[in-house]
Amino acid sequence: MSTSEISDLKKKLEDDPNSLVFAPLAEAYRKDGALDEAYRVCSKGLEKNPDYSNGHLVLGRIYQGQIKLDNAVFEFKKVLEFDPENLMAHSLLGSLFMQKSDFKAAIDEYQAILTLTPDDDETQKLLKVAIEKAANVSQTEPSIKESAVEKESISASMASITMAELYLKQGHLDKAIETYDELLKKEPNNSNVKQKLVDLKKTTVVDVPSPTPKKIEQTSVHNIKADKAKTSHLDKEKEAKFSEDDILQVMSMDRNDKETKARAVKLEIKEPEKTRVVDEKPSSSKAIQYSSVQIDVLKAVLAELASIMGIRRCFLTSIEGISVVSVGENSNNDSLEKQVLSIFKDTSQSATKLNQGLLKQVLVTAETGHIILVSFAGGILVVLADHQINLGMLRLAMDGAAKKVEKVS
Amino acid sequence: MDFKKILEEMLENVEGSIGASLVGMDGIVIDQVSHNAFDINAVGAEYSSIIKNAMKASSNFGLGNTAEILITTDKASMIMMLVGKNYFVALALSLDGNLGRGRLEIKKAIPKFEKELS
Repeated sequence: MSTSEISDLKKKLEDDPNSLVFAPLAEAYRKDGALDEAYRVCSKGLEKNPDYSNGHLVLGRIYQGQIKLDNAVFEFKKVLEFDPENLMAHSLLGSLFMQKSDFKAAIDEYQAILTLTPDDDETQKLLKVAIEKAANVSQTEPSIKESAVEKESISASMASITMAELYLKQGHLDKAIETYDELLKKEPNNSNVKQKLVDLKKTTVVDVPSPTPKKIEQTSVHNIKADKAKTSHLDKEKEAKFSEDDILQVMSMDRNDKETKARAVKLEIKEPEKTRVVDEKPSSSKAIQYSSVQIDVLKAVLAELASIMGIRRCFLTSIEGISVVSVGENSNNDSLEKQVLSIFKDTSQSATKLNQGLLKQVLVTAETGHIILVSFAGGILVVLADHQINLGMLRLAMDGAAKKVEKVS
Repeated sequence: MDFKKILEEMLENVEGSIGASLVGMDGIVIDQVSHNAFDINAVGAEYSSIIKNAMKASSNFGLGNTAEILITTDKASMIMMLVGKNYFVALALSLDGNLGRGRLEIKKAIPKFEKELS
């Protein structure tokens, strides 16, 4: 920024000392290397505007320049309190945590970015590096025979598999396949990766042939049994993200795979305490059938959505009214789901009659809560939420979830 | 103040608004205004049954009385809010219309409608 621009900003701040212009002025000083002046302007501005997230972002960067890393972390976290989707704050926190060798925390930040912008190549690379570093730290008992090169190679391989599993959990099947593809190019004889790739590609086939009623029943029973068999590590925070244990678990599984070459690597999806599959009913021949892997992914997507404060319940239903997965408050009353579906169907028909195009979303606001319906190819995502929920954020989150579900469908 | 004037005021104050109407729960339009050929009359008739369904669902889900319905299609958005027990007001907006302002203007207009209807 030129001196004249700094002068303009200074003038504006002098004219109105309560103005938010303090933040760009402090940022200009910071970029010029005048960290003390930047700090003075920014901290003074924040005294008057303590809730201005951009001011905290600038202050964090100033602290970073002053090598006051803990203070910088505090400020960036403050930004996220006001603006949880601030990509810059997540990114800066990620790099700070890497500097502090807190790889788990860095992974969390990079994951947060990728949840918001899944195609961010740069962050994908950073996440991979963070996972590799975390893997190196976790390998406390390396084989004496392993050379440094071998260790590096194993670590990179584990990181790729972990990345793929992360994508799978977040519902980004295409990214998971891409990651496995890349790994297979490097390790064409890796039968485990080959098998995973085959399994995954099977799940992404949209035109699944309609199974016979007997087969459907078997699938349902299998799914229910699989669910029961899962020993859920119930996480009170109900985050759909990976914990350090998850990452280590995947890596440990990969190591075991290497040894036994027989064990299937499948990450258990953490289910929030309130999560359950309500039903996977046999459906009409028109309905899309979901495999157990797909159901797992759908559950993860819904669990992530349900982790938003204020959501009571969310469920997926096919256009035919067949409930696929439900998360949250239990309801055995099918008629409620049918009522919601009839709202959607009637509205959809009306929109078509009125030449208003395809129905995308219906929001019903009542005295103590909201019902939100979002359409996606092949079904409807329904959420019941408390009255106090941030509707804008919820609608965005639902659109994101619907896109993920669409990929699975 | 007549109904048309309240509806016109609403339209003037909301960017991207297409039309607005006051409709009885039986689907009969009391009054309406629109910026173009948008058939807000038909909207009222079509959506009154949806409001009734939504009211039933809200009640059965234990959410209390329905206050508002927002419908988004790939061409437009429609906000509907209840005016007393027997009427609702509908505001149609283009996709780039200001939804927040639309909701606010309807909320401001509801007491005026209620006063006129009482």
